Parts: sequence; structure tokens; C-alpha cells
Amino acid sequence: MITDIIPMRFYGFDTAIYAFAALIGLAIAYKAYRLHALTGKKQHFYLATAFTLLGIGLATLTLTSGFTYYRYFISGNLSLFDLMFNIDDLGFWIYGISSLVAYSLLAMSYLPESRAKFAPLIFFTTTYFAYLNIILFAVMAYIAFNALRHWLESRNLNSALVAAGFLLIAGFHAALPFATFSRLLYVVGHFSLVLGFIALLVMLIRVGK
Amino acid sequence: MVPPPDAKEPEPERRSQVQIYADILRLLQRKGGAAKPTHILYGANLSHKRLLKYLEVLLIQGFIEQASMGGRMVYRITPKGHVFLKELKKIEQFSEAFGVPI
Repeated sequence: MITDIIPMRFYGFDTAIYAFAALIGLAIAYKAYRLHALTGKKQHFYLATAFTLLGIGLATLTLTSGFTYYRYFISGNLSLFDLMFNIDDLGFWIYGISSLVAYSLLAMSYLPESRAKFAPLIFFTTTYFAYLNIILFAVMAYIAFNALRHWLESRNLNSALVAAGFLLIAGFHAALPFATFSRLLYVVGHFSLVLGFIALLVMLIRVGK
Repeated sequence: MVPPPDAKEPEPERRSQVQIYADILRLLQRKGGAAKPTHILYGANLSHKRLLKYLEVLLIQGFIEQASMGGRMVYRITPKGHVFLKELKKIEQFSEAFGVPI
């Protein structure tokens, strides 16, 4: 149940964080589509599609968590379908699947084209929701590792911001599975997510100048 | 240190089409906006046949134009070409930030 893991003072803030992250994700997707239109490269298409899916997933989460809070504050009722599966769960499932596909595509954009066949295997991993964040963390950690390696080679501030962004998003997925043990980790995870997208936003502003 | 006789030279990275267009336009910028075809040929490191193909596309797109300078035909970068280079720089920085080559 949503009320088991979210501190009361944090109600609504997570929705705002998802909305902010969705907007940045879609802005990056737009830039990446322009890049793909110019080059026609597969890697750029993966990058653009990944951020589109991530943006859509986060936008879905914004709507479902926003609706959940609305119902909670209006009627005190969180469930939409039944007591076991509420609309927030549905939002998390849509976000979970879209971000799994998105991260797989991001991982593919870091692979040489000849080796980019392994990543779709991740799509077929059947998993229970509780483990989804652990898988998302593993894929995002791989992406962050590659981004960090690129930053160490290039020593470019924009690359550092991308690596920091991916690391912080990985931090979000690392914290969420443990939110059932400590509500504080739910807050820490979401701060990590918003800081990650702020790092990506700063990069986007810098390259747009 | 002398490399062993069977050591292979590291292969130079292949430029993408966009990079070649950008190289030609940047060369024109460096040459003060205009250059003779032979200067572009050496500067862009292309065969004559390939250079003509790339110049034709740039002409059609309106990024360069043909002009006469001292009785010789030159290619000149247009304002549209300057804008394209400016936009390309931003896109290159974005791609570079993600470590995905353009």
C-alpha cells in the first residue's frame, strides 16, 4: 500500500518530481530526435526512443500518483480496481516496463552496433514487481558505468553531468526496493531522481547555448 | 621503439557523412568564407569524385554557393551554412555528452 512506504509530509512531492523528470526526459528526447534526423544513426534513434519512453513512463506515473493523492485527500480511498491493486500500482507497472525498455535501449546506444543484440533479452525477463527496481538499477548502473568511462576519457563537463545524472537515477532504483523497510529511503530515492534529472537539465541548457 | 614489421597501423576513424559536410563548411569558414575547389579537396581529405558529390548536396541545400573571385570559380559558405554549423555544434556537444559519436 502506498501509505506504507511514503512519509506523510512527502505526499505530493513525488508527483511533482515525476512531472519535472518527465518534462526533462521529453526535452532530451526532442533533442535526440533532431540528432537522429541529422545523422540517421541507430544509436541516436535508441537514445531518442529511450528518453521518449522514459518521459511517457514518468508522465504516466505523474498522472496515476496525482490521481491517487487526489482520491486520498478527497475520499480517503486509494483503491480503484480492488484493495490489492490500486491505480498507483498500475502507474508503477507502466513506468517500470517503459523504463526497462528505455534503459535497455540506452544500454544499446553504448554498445557497438555488432554487439547490440544482447540488450533486447532484457525485455523478456519476467519478474515480480518487487524485483523490478533491482533489475532497473542493474541496467542503469551499466549505463552509468559507460557514461563515467566516457567522462574519464573526455574530461568534458557535459559528459560529467550525464554520468552524474545516470548515477543518481541508478540511486533512485537502488533506494526504492528498501523503501518498505525505511520510509526515509523513499524520500532519499526521489531526491536522487530529481537531482539526476537536474544534472541532465543543466547539460541540456549548456549544449543549447 | 621500432614497431614489429607485422604491426598494423591503427585504422583512422571513419568520418560520418555529417562530419564530412561539417569539415567542408568549417574549411570554408577558416579560409575567410570562400575557397577554390582544389583547396577544399586537400583540406577535406576527399577524392575528387566524392568531393563533387558532397559539394553538390551542399549547393542544393543552400549551405554553399558558387562565386567568381579573381576570374577563378570558388565555393562560398552562405548565411544558411553558418547557421547550420552553429546548430551542428550544439548537436555535437549533446551527442558528445552521452558519449555517442555523431
